[in-house]
Amino acid sequence: MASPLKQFEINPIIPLQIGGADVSFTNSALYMAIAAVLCAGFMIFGMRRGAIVPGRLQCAVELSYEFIANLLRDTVGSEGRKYFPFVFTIFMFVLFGNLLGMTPYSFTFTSHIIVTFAMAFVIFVGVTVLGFVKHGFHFFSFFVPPGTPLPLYPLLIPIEIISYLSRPISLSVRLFANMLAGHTLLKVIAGFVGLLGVFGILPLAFVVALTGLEVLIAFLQAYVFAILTCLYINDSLNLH
Amino acid sequence: MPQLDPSLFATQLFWLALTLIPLYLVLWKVALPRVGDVRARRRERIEDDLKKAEGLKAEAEAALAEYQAVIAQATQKAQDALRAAAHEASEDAARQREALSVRLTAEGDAAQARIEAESRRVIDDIGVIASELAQSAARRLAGADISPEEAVAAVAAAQREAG
Repeated sequence: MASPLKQFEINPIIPLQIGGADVSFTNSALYMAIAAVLCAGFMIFGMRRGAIVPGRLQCAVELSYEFIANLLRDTVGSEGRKYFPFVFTIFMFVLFGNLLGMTPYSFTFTSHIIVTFAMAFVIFVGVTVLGFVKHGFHFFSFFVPPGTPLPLYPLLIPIEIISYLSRPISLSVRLFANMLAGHTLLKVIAGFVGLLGVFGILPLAFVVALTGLEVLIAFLQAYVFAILTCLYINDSLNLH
Repeated sequence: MPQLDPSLFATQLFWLALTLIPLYLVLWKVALPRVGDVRARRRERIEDDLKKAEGLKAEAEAALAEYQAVIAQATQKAQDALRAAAHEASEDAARQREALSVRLTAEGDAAQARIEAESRRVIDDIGVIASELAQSAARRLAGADISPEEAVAAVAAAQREAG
């Protein structure tokens, strides 16, 4: 039986070197490309008729559009509209990556910390720059919760700064760990199906149920990633 | 764990950038504006239709009011005509009734006069019949031949006696 972690292995498909760095086209890259193409295709093909009365596929496109638009409006408000394409792209890319990972024999690129961290880091740098552009040095007041008594400043400011700096880590680890744990668990339990013979029906049933749960988690983690992005944008724009 | 192998970081970061950035540009510049356009067009269309519907409703209400006014006018006219006709008819009937009663009264009077004349004539005739009867009765019963004058005198006497 293969190791439950074997599914996370990255294998080059087309070896490629740029400036001494290995940037081979791998199975991970393949699924990123599939996710991007599917996502763009879904959005463009679904809207090809642009009908006033939408069909099923157009309904799905508009539903995703409305979902993120509402999310952004509820957390940030109307000035968040500028960041809609960004949040939408992040959400759809993570969602398609998670869902593609649920296909048997496929690869889940969101189960790699470097991918989720890269996205979280871009978001973190982006909202920090946004905060400074919007508020200048006044942005530092973000690290002082309103109504804090002066004697508590030495205690609270470091805590706030640490919590702020740990945002990209918590954001990326949450997604990565959920994907890693879910897929590993599925693999481990699926491994028992063959070993238990007739009683393998029990882990099989469990795997079926768990697959449903994993699909739910695929949606949920994409949603969480998007809503936290919205909240960070809101913090930068409105400072608490 | 392959996740912790730094030699695999470069390729993942490279391909993440190479897929996510074009996706962002495509969604930002092409796909999302189209969705927004369609939604804006739909909203406009709905508002337009609502406005049009409101206009049509007002029009329909105006038409209804006009219709009701016409109906009321027509009803009024019809009632007037009906009343006039009824009045005329009743006057006509009264006139005819009066004419009829006048004619009937005249005819009744005439008939009354005729009846009286007839009865007078019959009463006059009774004397003659009675005298002829008395004459023939006397001949048959008594074998006496009475002259008509005697018979008439006897009948007149008997009539006088009877009152």
